[in-house]
Order: sequence, then C-alpha cells, then structure tokens
Amino acid sequence: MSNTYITMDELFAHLSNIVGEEDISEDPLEKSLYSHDTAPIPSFLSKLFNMQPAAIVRPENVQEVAKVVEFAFHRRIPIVPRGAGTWALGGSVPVKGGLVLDLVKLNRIKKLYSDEPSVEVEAGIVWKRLMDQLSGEGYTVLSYPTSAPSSTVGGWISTGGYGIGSLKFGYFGEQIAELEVVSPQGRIQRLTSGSEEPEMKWFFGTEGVLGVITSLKFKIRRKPEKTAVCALYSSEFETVANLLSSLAKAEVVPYLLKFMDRELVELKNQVSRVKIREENFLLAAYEGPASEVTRGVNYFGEEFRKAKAKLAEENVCTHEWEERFNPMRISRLGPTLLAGEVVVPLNRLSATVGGIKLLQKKYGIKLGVEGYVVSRDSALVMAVFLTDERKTLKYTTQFALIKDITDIGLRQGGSPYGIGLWNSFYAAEKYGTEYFEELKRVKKKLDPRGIMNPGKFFEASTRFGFPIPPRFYRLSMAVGALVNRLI
Amino acid sequence: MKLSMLEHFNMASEPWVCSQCGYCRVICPVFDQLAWESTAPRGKIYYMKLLLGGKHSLEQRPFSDKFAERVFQCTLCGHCKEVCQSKIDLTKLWTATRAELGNRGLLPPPAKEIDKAVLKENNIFSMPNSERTIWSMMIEEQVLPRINKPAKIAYFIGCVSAFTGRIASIPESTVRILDSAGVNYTILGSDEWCCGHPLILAGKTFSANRLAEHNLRKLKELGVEKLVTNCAGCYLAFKHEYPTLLGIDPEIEIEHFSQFLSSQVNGGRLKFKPRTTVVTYHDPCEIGRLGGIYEEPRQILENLPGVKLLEMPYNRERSNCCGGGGLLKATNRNLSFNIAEKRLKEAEEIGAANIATACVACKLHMTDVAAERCAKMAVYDIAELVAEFLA
Ligand SMILES: Cc1cc2nc3c(=O)[nH]c(=O)nc-3n(C[C@H](O)[C@H](O)[C@H](O)COP(=O)(O)OP(=O)(O)OC[C@H]3O[C@@H](n4cnc5c(N)ncnc54)[C@H](O)[C@@H]3O)c2cc1C
Repeated sequence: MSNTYITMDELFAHLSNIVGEEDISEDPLEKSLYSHDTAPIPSFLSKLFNMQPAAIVRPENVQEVAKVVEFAFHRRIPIVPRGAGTWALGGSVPVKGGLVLDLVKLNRIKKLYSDEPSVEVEAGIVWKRLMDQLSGEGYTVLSYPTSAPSSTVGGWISTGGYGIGSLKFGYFGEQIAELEVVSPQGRIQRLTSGSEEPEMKWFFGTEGVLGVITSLKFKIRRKPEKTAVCALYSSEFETVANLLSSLAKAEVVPYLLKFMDRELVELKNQVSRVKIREENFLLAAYEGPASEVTRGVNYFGEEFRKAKAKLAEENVCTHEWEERFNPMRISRLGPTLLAGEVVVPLNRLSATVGGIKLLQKKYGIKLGVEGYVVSRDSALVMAVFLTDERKTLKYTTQFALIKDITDIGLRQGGSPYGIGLWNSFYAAEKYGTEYFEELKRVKKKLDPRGIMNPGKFFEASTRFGFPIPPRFYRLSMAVGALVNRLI
Repeated sequence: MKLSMLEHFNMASEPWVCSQCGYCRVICPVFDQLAWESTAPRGKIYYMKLLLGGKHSLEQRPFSDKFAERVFQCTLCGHCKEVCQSKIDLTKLWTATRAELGNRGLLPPPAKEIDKAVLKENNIFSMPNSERTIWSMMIEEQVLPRINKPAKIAYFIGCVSAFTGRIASIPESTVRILDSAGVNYTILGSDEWCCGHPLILAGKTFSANRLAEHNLRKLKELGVEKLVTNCAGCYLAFKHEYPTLLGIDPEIEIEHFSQFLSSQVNGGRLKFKPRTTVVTYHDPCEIGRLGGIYEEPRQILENLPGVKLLEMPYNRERSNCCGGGGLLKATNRNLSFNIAEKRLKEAEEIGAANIATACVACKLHMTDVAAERCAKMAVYDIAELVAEFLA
C-alpha cells in the first residue's frame, strides 16, 4: 500500500460499490478471526508479520471477485484468497495486511454433467456439502481431503490435493478439466489442460499466489456399488510398511490405505469409544463394483496371512473408517496438537518413521505417526504430538519439532507437502529448481505488482521488509530451548 | 483475563482444545445465514482464547460488543457439539459464556425481560401464574379434577403451552391421549413454575435453581415417580440441565411425551382410525441431538394407520435446526425466521405437506414462519397429530 495511500473510508466506499456494505467487514473482532488459520503459532513468530487485514471482503460471484482484484491491483493492496482457513501453513493469513478475500459465498454447484460424470462448482463450496448434494443424485467425488467436512474445493487444488481416494483415483489436479481464475490484474480466464500462458497447472498447489480460482470442473463417479474395510495389527512396523507397499501395487488398489503406529494408537485409545489393540495398525478400504471389491479384499486376506499379521475386528474397521475425518480427535489430551508432515517414497517409509521415533528421545515427547499411501510409491506421513500453547517457553521449543520431522523425511528422499508462509524455504526443494524458477517468472509476469497473497511461498517476508532466513526458526527456537533449560 | 463462569463450569481450557478444524462452521445454522467467522462456533471459541490468553488488543473494553451480540446469535442447537472432533461440550460452553455475559451485565434486552418476568410471576410471560391452567378452558371438567391430585405420573405443561392460546391444542391433545390410554396422572396447575430452561438460555443460570427446587418439591409432595412433558426445553432442563448445570438430582424419572407415548402405542393402549397423511418428522434439537431421542417419535408416526413418513435429507443427528431455539426468535427475529424458512423448504422439497415435530417451540416457530412466508406447510406437534387419529 506504500505509494498509493488510501484512507479506510475510501477503501470502504470503493469496496461497498462492488460487493455491497454487508459483505465487507472492518470490525476488530472479525479482523482478529481472519488473521490466523488452524496453526497455533508461537507469538514471537506471529509478531514478525502484519497479520491483521484492513478488511474482509466477500464477493458473491466471479464478476465481483474480478472487480475487487482489479481495484486492489490499481491501488497496490494485497489480496489474500481464503477458502475455509483449514490449512496450517499460513496460506490464508495476511502477512502484509490488505484484504482477505473470503470465498465463502462462492458456494454453488454450477452444473452436473451425467454422461461423462463431472461437475462444475464454485471454488468456495465445502466438500461435504458437495458430496451430500451429489449423493442425492447418485454420484460422489473421486477423492477428497480428510478435512472434507469443512474445507473448500478451491482450497484443496490450491494446496496439497492428496487425501482419501488419491491412491485409486490420483492427484486432484488430474481430475480437473477446466478452471476459471481471476488473474492478479482482475481478468477472468477459463483454462483447460491445453491453455498456455497461463497454463492450468500453474494454479495447482500454488497456494493462491498466482490468482484466485473461482470455479472448477472435474470428474466425479457414480456412487460405488460396494465399500469394504479391512484392517490389521502388527507388532512390527516393518511388517505394516511392507504390506502397505504390496497392497498399493496390487491389481485392485485400495480406495484408502493408511496406517497408524503404536504410539498414535495409544493416544487415540485414550479418547476413543472403540479401542484398538495397541500395536501398529493398517487400514485398507476398497470401493467400486462388488466383484472388484471382493478381489481386493481377497488379496488383502492373502497378504495379511503371509505376513502373519492379526486381523482387526469388524467394529474396529467400521469405526476407523467413520473416523477418517477426525485426525485431530486427540487434541483434548494436549490441549495443543501439532503435526509435522512430509511426503516420502513408500520404500523409505520404515526408515522415515524410525527416524521420527529417534526424535521422541531427543525431545522427550511422544510422537504418534499416521500416514496415507497417496500413490503407488509414496506416502504422506504425519507425525503428531501434544503440547500446551499456554506454556510459552516450552511450547516454543517444541514447535521446532515440526521442522525436524519434515527434515527427517527430506533426508529419506521425501518432499514437503506444502509451502505457505512457514515452509517457504523448502519451495525450491518441493518443486525442483527448474519448475520453481518457472513459477517465479510466471509470478512476475502475472502479478507484476506483487499483490496476490504476498510475502509467502517464494519467501517468508516479514513486516520489516526482510525475509526470514531458513535457519531462523531453528535458531530462535534453539534460543528458546536454551532459555528454557536455564530457568 | 479471567472468565469466572467458564471456570465454574470447568470449561476454561476448552478454547485451547479447539483445533480450529472448522467442522462446526458449515453445519451452524447461524453461520449458514451470516457467514462471518465471528458467527461460527470456531470463531467464537477462538475469540475466547484471545480473551483468556490476554491477547485481545481489540477494543478498549475487554468484551467486544460484537462478541456479546454473537453469543446470542445462536440457537443452541448442539450441531457444533455433535461434529466437534475434539469433543468439546460446546452447548455447555455457550451456556457458560451467556452466564459470563449475565455476570457482566451484557445481556440483550429479551434475556433481561425473561429474567424479570420469571422473578415476578414464575413464568416467562409475566402472566399471573394463577392463570396457568388457562389452556384447559375447553376441557375443564377433564383437567380440574387432576390438579394437585397425588399420582405416580405428572404431566408438566410448560410455560409456552400453558399461556400461548394458539397452541393450547397441544396440551388439549395430550390430555385426550392420556385419558384414552387410561393413564392416572396429575397436573401441578398454578404450582407449576417455569422449569428454568429459559433462564439458562438467558444467561441467568443460577436463577434457575429456585425454580427447579420448587417444582421438584411439589412433584415429590404428590408422590410423583415419573414426569412427562411435551416441551423439549422442559425435558432438557429436568433431565440434563438440573444435574449437569445446576447440580440438582431430580430423583424422579423424566420422560419426553414422545417416549411415553411410544410405550403406550407399543403396549396397544391406544386405538387409531386410518387417515391418509404424508408427513415428515423434524427432530427438535433439544430432544434430538441434546437428548438423544430420535426413534420414538418415528415409531409413533409409523404406527398411525395411513401415515406415510418421509425423511428429510438432514435428519436425526444431522438434522437442521428450525431457528426457534436459544432465544434467537426474541433476540434476532429475522435471522430465526430465515433459518426456519430453509428447514420448511427442505420439507417441501421431499414432497411432504405436513411436518410433525415433538417440541412446542419448534411447532410454534415453524407455524409462524410458514404463515408469514407463505409456505404451504402444516406443522403439528406429535400429540396433535396422534389425537387426530384417535378412534
Ligand atoms: C482435520 C484436517 C484434515 C486435513 N486433511 C487434509 C488432507 O487429507 N489432505 C490435504 O491436502 N490437506 C488436509 N488438510 C489441510 C487443509 O484442510 C487442506 O489443505 C484444504 O484443502 C484447505 O482448504 P481451505 O478451503 O481450508 O483453504 P484455506 O486454508 O482457506 O487456504 C489454503 C491456501 O489456499 C489458498 N486458496 C484457498 N482457496 C483458494 C482459491 N479459490 N483460489 C486461490 N487460492 C486459494 C489460500 O490463499 C491459502 O494459501 C487437513 C486439515 C484439517 C484441519
């Protein structure tokens, strides 16, 4: 906002001309609620940024989005696209003030195509709402994040895009046929896989730094004829890891293939209605035509017998399938739940989990590991631990664990799952130097004034103008740890 | 900052337990209408965390006026509690927060009025409580002999049924049903006082103790072993709020009328004549999500000859609120009407011409909204519908 000073009154007047007064808020309470996401950030970190937006704006359709963005472009006002704010890497949090562009009102299903089943939706629609409505018509989506009860479709393509169903149906981006975006200069564009400058794929996983996605058309499917859930226990994690590999490469791949290690099972049992045997746990859910599901289940049976694992009880299978949306159940034990996540090659899973377990000793904290096989050869690993945000010093020290967890995965040939604000120093690593350089070029071209979700992804730039150097967190948290030890 | 009511109800750590996953946002009937974070459960709980953590550099005053307003923009439908993955007892948290506002003198006018009315007359309408049997005007000869007569079963009418002329048909029907089934029961008459539930909603939790103690004493004097009521709020108060919020054990069995009625129907104590009716059942939040009663009302409806029962897509635990609860109708009329209108549309879309419910407040509210917003929908309390089928 440096060289085009604008008063709050002017800002309000301009914006209300576009979206109407009832869809702008400058209320202090409201602003404080749009200045964070799910991550409880230690205060010394959040103080480095200007997280309070000047206002929150809720456009109702793509034209309004375009007008707001165009206005922001002319006046050099930062724009932060926001779905449901369920991500944890700071993507929807302003770091340089400006406008939060809340897409909550872009929540319609535009069209259902039944011949080659697909659906066109506005980007702010919540997965669960979409799935409910499709269900009424006999359809469902191919894949969805475990946060489906709250997160938006646009949010998922802007971030990870892997979750439940990815093993069987692939990355969310692969299901998308068309994207409607508003460029940082306020132009509405419809993109397909053939589009050039901008290419559609640039908007996949780029966390709202290149433009606002306003609607998406993607493949769906008829509701599956059958769903079957199988699960097993083993005292050896190695056994579970090997089974994950073989099940992921089978002729019939599971719809969902996930695991929990013993420590996580122990934690979950403290809050769960249905208790699981306290060992390493593997769950495979098959969906599809009945005959295919039966083949999958049979294969599971053969594999688990060969591995001499123990079959889980039916009520456990049902319960854990229903629980797939609730990875944060155990937060009550904290009260703060933190997680480090990283994508690793499936054949390095055991080594990754082993490495994470070593951190347990170093920090003297229990780490539960959970993971999802998201493709035939990779798994998304999440290590969770419980802490207490109210105990500032200890919390600050333990916060560093998140980075350590990621680093262990990276050493095993993995890559970070998301970038946002807090992982920006990993961006080149995630995308590869070449593609990352291309994205930088694209950013400069599409967003010459740098208004679109600034201060993230490419660098974590603070309110003081300088970016956070990669080692910063470690350093400051090490200081935190030292102080902690001294007192 | 200390929030003493949160401490009193052992809820002061809950804002930290919340992981901000937002599952409570999508299903919240108020967020659905207003769509600001501050209207969503997760937004309110985050603000409490800011307050409790001393990080609220928001306004000069510790409690934002906006926040006080938002706390009452809530129907206390319990849907947030239902979906909370961290299992936070959110209805209790909202109740505690209202009590906190009460302590700080930040209640909205309707809440203050209810408190005043109950203090003066022991009912929420400020009517002389001696007129509490006014609903029975047309059936005095059946009702008067029952008043204050010792019996094992008591029928608790509740303020809303007792004083709202246009739903007097609910207690009337209930009496017809009880009489047809040959039940021996008592009615407290003007010794029946407000159950206290409206005060709990109004942030005056502890004013409810006096009422609870009075009602329970009267019931015991008459040798009552089981209380039956068709008011979902009264049911919730006696069954759950007395023990968990007021620390009072009612020491008698508490049944919602739908539970009692279902056992009468199952026991073959009622004879019905057939009537072709297409009906859907609306789960009242206060006996459904908050009371766990889902199947009994449905069993009753399925036993009525000629009734076709349709389900709305959102039913039982996932039922959408009618918008009439939590004092919302008094504090934010338009909002509560908009919520109801949406629920009426849901019923319309599945082709139901009638809604049956098991809550006097839901019945009243949906009827009002249907009339004002031209929905062609007849709304019945289950007692009214069953009475029409009596042979
Ligand atoms: C319980 C739980 C489970 C989760 N499970 C998964 C999972 O299985 N897989 C997974 O990948 N993630 C998961 N997540 C993380 C998160 O929910 C997902 O990343 C989700 O897709 C984010 O969607 P959102 O609508 O909340 O986006 P937000 O958090 O609002 O935004 C995320 C980022 O995307 C940008 N953005 C959002 N919408 C748009 C748009 N329309 N146009 C441009 N940019 C946009 C924002 O600027 C921001 O940078 C989980 C989170 C929780 C709390």
